Amino acid sequence: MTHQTEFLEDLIREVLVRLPVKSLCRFRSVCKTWRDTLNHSDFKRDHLHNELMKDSLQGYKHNSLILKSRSLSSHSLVYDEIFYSMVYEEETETPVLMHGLPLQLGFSSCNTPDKRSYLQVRLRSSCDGLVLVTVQHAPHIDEDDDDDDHATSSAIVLNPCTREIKRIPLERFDEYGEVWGIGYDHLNCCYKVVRAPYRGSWWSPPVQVLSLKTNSWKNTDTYTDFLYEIDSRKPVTTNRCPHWTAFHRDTRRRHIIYFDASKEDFRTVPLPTQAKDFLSAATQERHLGIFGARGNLGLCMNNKKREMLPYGG
Amino acid sequence: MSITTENNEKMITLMSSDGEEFVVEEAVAAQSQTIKHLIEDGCSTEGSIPLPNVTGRVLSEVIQYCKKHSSSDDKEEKELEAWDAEFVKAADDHVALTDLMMAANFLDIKGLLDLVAQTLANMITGKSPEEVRRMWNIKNDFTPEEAEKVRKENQWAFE
Repeated sequence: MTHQTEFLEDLIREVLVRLPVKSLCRFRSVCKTWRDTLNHSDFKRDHLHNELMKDSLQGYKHNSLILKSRSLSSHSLVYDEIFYSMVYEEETETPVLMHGLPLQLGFSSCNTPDKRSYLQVRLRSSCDGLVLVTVQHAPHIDEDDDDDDHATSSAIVLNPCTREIKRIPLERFDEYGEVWGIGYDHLNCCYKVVRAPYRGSWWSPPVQVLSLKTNSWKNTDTYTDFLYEIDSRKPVTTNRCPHWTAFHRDTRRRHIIYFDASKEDFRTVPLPTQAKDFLSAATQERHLGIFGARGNLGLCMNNKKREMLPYGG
Repeated sequence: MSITTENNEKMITLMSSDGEEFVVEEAVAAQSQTIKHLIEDGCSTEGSIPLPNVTGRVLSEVIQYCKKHSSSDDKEEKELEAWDAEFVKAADDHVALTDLMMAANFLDIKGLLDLVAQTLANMITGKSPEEVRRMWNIKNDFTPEEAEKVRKENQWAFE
């Protein structure tokens, strides 16, 4: 063959961005140039873009789901939670379940090899197929040693498509007291994780942001007072930003807030007039639901109280 | 050299790297952004446009594609897709496809580049690294340790 190599390399990239993830992971073994190309963030960005284009043309068949199953472990009195990721396999054109995610999360490395048990695994948020998970491990069960009787926790960003995981440092963790989100920073071309108090108040710990590039936390000084009481721990991701509905302690209003990863800031989404009217009664009983789909944000409003009638009344 | 046909279509001449000349309608040739810019810059008024990176064999295929795609505005999309599928099937092996892709890249014909790149992608999706290396004469420059490491990290993709 007489192809000039450099020229060909550019063109091979054109072929590679069109391949399914599984082939790409395998082709990291071809040569160093391919490995480096495939690991480069520019390539990943272009590949994602290509996949999304394909989705919009072919009807979103590549979307995948994460399913969670819960069973009481036979080894200890804690729940084992197993994640299955449902991935659309392009080669065979069928959806497949990939299970055993806990093993990939590296739980087997915790010090109870025969009892890989943990208290709680939470899917916190997701963005572009990256899944943010927090894990509260079970206390090490050892009757002789009371000191070991405390739970440890970890946070992980998982890519179920490539089966890669990234561990996030975690010094303090409040299982129920925090909301977590992951979003994309368009300016710095990286993903950022945010953690904020679930019930914000003047004495809450500060909002913290972590860039997956540096993998270290920093406090956001703009939010010494994060005064939102967030409705649901799990955000709705749309436009690559996590969104929540939240009640502001100060203004006594309910808002839709989202984390802007570029500005490392929480913003509010302007509400349509009907929603504003609905919420103007400034009461906590009026609820707002949101859902996201293909870059849109849906809204549902409900102020009906559930009523129970006396039996036979 | 600019000739005009009976239906007033402006013709231009393209010359391949091996000296073969092709007379095509300007609208057909202008599917290539590279040629379009050359025409706009007035390079086509005298003699033929030389294309030093494209052989006659490949150029005739490219022209075939451009002809089909310049005349198919009002045609059914399905029919064009079927035609495209036949077209890349005729190119058959990866060497011909790679040549075609290089030409599409040099001539800047986005549709053709997409088509050929996707065809090559489909071709190599299920292949092993070794098969891919053989296809494009790629040297395996990993040390045995490095090869073992990268293979281990991506073991699931080999199953």
